[in-house]
Amino acid sequence: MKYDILPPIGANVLADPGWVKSFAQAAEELGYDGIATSEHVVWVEGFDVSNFPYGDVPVTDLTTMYADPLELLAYLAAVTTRIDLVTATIVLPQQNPVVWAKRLATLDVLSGGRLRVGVGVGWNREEMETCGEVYTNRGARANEAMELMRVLWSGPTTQPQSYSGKHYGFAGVFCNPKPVRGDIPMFMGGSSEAAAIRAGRLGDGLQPLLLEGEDLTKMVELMRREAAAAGRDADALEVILRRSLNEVTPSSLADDVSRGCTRIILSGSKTTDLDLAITQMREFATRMGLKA
Amino acid sequence: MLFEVIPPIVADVAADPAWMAEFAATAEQVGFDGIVLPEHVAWVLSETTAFEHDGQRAVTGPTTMYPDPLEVLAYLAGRTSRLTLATGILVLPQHHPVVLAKRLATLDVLSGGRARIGVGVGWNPDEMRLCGQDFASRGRRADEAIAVMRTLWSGPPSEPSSFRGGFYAFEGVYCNPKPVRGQVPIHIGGSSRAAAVRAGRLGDGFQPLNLRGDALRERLDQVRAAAEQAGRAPEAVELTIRAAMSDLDPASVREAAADGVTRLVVNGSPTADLGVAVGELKSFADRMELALAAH
Repeated sequence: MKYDILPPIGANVLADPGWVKSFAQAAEELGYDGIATSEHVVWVEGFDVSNFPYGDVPVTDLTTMYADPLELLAYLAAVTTRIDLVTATIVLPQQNPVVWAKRLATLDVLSGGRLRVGVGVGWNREEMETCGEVYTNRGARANEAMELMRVLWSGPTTQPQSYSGKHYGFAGVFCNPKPVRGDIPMFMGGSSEAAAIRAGRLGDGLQPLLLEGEDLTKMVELMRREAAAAGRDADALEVILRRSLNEVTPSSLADDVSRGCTRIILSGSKTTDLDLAITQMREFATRMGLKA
Repeated sequence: MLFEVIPPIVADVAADPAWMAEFAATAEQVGFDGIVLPEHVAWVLSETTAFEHDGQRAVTGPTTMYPDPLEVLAYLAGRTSRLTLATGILVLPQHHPVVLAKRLATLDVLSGGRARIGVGVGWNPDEMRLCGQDFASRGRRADEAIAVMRTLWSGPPSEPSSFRGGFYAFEGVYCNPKPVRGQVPIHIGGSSRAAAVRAGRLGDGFQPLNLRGDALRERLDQVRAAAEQAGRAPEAVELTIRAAMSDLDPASVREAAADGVTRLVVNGSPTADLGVAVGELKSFADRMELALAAH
């Protein structure tokens, strides 16, 4: 099992670079595999909560400091050496995919190939519209965005790339630098069948929220069937779950493994107390035998 | 006079983190005030790649490494402590201003308030279309984008922002964090009269690419006239120009200052040899006594 850690975004620590830097360095020292962050460009008063697909809306404070995830990870790339830099998640169809491709490739290169990207299609209509994008076709645009980014990331730097989709298209385009590994792992966030299908056909794995038990198993099977049907290696796909630090036990872990889980994104208490946050990470690392 | 340095983009060094970290750390150490990164999201293979801009032929080509400037600057924020982190030039109407506002505020916060952006309206229609934006309206959208970003940056985090323009509109929007100094300085690039007027009306500075002598003085008069007309203090608009380090000596810097120049963005040789590039920074700093000026 591999473990990524999310800082306590709700405690507004992302606006404190010294705090996040120390947190990320501690996570790296303690043997965590990745440091994760999420994205909300804006919050709009009176947004339609019924669009949130995972139960109660987790964010009640619209003033929360949501630093841009890629600028934050680029900063953390400079102050860490080994730990993966992870988005969980970015809202892919909320921004132009060519710009995304350039930004993600840059971050990957700056970090020496340490970037893993969780992508979602988004649920907050008002946020997406404030970013100038259409809400209703976001799934179709997300599919094209994933294809298009992989096209721009591939090939030698001297070779122009072309893409032809319904929403996006171009010919003869150079977009350099390229990612260190030739590609960047992309994990599909979301709990719907559409997310599982997208993960199987285009992604490197599924990152569902609030799917447990048989529901989770079904989605993982659907993803693997779709991957196999597309001629991809279904066994190579990851299944990434979210847990709090204190809810992971040997028995919960055994259950998660039996459902195909390969990685857990963890979060601790909503605190600005850096010592407390690091202590919680250390206790988990000791308890679960993480190797520094 | 402030001195900022632009790395040798043409030598494909900008996407090399170790190279850039060492270059920036040296620049900081020897007394430069800032480091500057340009932007091209992508190049389209067409007639526009044979770029002639302001009569100057581009020396970079479509395969040149143009990493995203804000990601590189955020990285350098972690490797430096005093340098201003600047763009020169970021193509403003190529981005959605709400997203850009968030990105710039984040860079500013991560760097402890060291962000400065030079923005242009863009000249490459293919690149702008590739970014999903309309070329014909780029000037008007740039004006609005500046207003959008300043609206989102102002006020306490607990207060929502609203904006109503011809291209962009929103109400009750929270965009946090805010820049450290309340705003990120916006300098207007470009050498045209339109750029000068925009700088006077809206900019914290004017950053023409390629103007000298009488042409520069004429544009600066236009900047100041536009500032006055907008009810702003003309001397509050800074003037930044480009120069090669090898072309500068204390006398030419004094001349530039007399022309109203407040900041020089300088470049060295187009080399990927870090030893050579760092050596040029050091000898320029010695020659111009930058370390003395910085302390």
